Amino acid sequence: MEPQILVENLRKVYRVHERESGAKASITSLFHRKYREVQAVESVSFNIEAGEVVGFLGPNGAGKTTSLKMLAGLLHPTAGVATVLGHTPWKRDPDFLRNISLVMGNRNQLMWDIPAMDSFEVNRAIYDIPEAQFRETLDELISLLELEPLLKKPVRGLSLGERMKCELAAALLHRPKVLFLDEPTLGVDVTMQGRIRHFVAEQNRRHGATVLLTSHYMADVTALCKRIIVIHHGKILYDGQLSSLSDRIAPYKSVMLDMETDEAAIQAEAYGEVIERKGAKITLRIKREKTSEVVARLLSDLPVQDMTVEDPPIEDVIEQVFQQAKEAT
Amino acid sequence: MRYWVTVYRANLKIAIAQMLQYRFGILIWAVWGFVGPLISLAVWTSASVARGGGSIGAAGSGSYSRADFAAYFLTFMIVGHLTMSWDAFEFAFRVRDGNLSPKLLRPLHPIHSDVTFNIAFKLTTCVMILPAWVLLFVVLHPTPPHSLFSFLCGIPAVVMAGLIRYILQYSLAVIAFWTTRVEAINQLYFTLDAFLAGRIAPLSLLPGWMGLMAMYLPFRSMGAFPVELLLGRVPAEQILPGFIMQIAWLGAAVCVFRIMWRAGIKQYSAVGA
Amino acid sequence: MRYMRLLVVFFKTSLQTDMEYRVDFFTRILASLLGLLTTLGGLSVVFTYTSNIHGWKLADMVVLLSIYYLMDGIIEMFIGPNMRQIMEQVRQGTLDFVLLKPISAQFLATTRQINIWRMANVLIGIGLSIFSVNRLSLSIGPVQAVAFAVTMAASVGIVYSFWLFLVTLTFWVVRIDNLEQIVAQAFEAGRYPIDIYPSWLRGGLTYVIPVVFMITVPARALAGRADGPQVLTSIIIAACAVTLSSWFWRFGLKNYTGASA
Repeated sequence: MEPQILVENLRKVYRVHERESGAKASITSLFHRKYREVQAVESVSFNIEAGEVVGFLGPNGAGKTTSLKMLAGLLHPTAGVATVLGHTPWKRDPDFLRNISLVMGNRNQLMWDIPAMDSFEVNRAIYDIPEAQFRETLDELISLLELEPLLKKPVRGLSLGERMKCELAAALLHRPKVLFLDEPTLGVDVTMQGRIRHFVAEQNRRHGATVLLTSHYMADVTALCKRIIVIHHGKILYDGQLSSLSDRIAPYKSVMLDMETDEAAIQAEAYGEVIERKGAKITLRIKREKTSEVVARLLSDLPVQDMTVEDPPIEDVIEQVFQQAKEAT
Repeated sequence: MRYWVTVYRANLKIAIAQMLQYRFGILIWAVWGFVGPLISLAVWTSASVARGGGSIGAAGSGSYSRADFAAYFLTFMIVGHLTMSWDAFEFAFRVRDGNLSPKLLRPLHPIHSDVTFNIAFKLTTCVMILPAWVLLFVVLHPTPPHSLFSFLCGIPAVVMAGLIRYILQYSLAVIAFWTTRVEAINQLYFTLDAFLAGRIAPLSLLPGWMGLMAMYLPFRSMGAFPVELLLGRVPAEQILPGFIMQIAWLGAAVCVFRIMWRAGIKQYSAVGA
Repeated sequence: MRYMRLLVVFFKTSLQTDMEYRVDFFTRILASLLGLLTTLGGLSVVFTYTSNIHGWKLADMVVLLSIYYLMDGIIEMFIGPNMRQIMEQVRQGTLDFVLLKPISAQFLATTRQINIWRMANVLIGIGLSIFSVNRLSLSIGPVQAVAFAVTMAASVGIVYSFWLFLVTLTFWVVRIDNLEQIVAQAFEAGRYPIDIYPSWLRGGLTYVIPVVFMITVPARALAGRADGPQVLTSIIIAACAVTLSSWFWRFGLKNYTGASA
């Protein structure tokens, strides 16, 4: 089946006006402007099937938001082709717009001074949603997001987390087939972050909405996405399953040992790469294939009080990905 | 004494730096003050033309020819600019945005930083608008002032006018402690000021009952008096009484201000700053 | 048409705006009335010395003033709030939400907000015009009424286009607060017939910031003094203005979204 989202060699270059500070520079800049080209997105290609939940991961300025905006039709690319739901996004066909939605963390589409419910009604008119469908969707959203007490208050009186819930609801009223989420949990407290993630997962499960999520919070991605696309400096560094990423990039495990004595800990250093040692506690990095063997040896050779074996934290994995990319350039 | 000099100098430096940041915006704002008198001038000039170019008003120091009108309103542009203040608006915003409380926490009355800001504005803009004013002077051919002595007397009168005006409008600003819906009150003040300070028309041209009101209210001391002095239109025997009026009104303004401020602060802290 | 229905929805939603704005309503009426008093008072003082100014009698000036208030009120109710919101949205990056909706971005951005509570000046304008028309003992025949309605509509079109042009500039210049002020001052000058201003200023007020077409022409129409050619010119200018400014908006939008020309 045709992928729902097709991206081929998408590129976005910005011309940024450069100017130094100071009075003299401000005058000269009136006559002669210096420009610098910024490659926001360098040539990305990927395909996404209907119903997938894909996470775009990368540090700030990596090109995640720019890519998302191009797919939502808000930006024209400098080069390349993209097709979403059979449309070219930046042509901004009403049929296309009716089936997508974008939620941006920290930016509101809801009207500030009136209750959220009224903003919903406006959206209903704009998207031309039939009465019955609107009611049904709204009721579902109200119960899933616990919106009941929030609907009648003016939006400016709501807390950030409450506002985010209403924003999500507003974005889903027209049952979009593709949902773009740009840093949706930015600035929101930990509990609310969890609720938002759960809600998004539900939407995907119940309605089959395709979700593209950008974030620099690992937790968002690990909770929601099986597939991740790692972007850095506008280039895709990795596109695939989250689980295989670990295996490919960082095929090791972290072993945390609590030894009986400091000397024992010092001796343990010989068994693997030392990440950290504090007194009698030591953390080693051991190759995945060798882990059981090394652990068995440690337990028989040295007095180990306590031991934990963990997968490397996903942040480290991603860090490695970036490191490798840096070394490659 | 030295404390005040230091404080004012420091505040002034910051204020001027801030001004220079705004640059173009400040200029536009400064020119705003010119628009009113210019429109009035246009209206009165047309009236003068409609009467065949003769003078309007009772003979003597109360009559105005076209050139006299030009002189009057040109002077008002400068005097108006030097005596302007905007705290009446600013204050309401501050109360609404909650920016007032931090200022109240300082051991210095907020009026002082506002005064320096005001002075800094006038200093920087004076330089900018002078060319425009000179251009207008050349284009409009106003009647030059009649007497040097009167002109020189006008200068301290302008300073006094500025002080009275500032303190009175700050007292007005204090009303924001009770309600931020000060638009109507401010507008009332501006209407009275427009007529009785001589912005709409020279006082001698106003109907009798208005002229009488002007005698008993502070507005004349804040506007028309210094302007007329500069132009030499105040009869010699009225100069001193005029100054005494100014001093009296300044005293009254300070009293009013103190009372209002004290009551206002009480109100503000009672409601919850 | 769908867009008509949307306008109704926007209108209804705007009624919901908070108590705070509603109470402001009365203060505003009071303040506006006082402002009106100032202008009228000033005019009556001038008219004790002369019976007409450049052919305008006091009653004519009041008609002009009523149109001024009417236009000012319309701008404050319909045009101002939207244009200001667009500028704010460009600054904060939330204009994107407007672009994501499946309807014309220009329509949505320029009509979404209607500030009912700024009605004060509209009411004053209407009241004043009724009063002055009576004073002038004008009989408003159907032709005049149509001419007036048409020129008013043209005026609104011109004002809309002018503001749209200014607002589109924010795509490049982000802050145009200063320009806004200049426009406001020029509009102030429109309280009086432009004949009182020196000839060099009149040009600016006709073609640069078209105060003449915004205020003077409908005023003449109401007073029964507009002739066919003038009305026609207004319509043509309004149509051109709307077309040009819409084109400019689309151009600005293309630039904003990075479409190569």
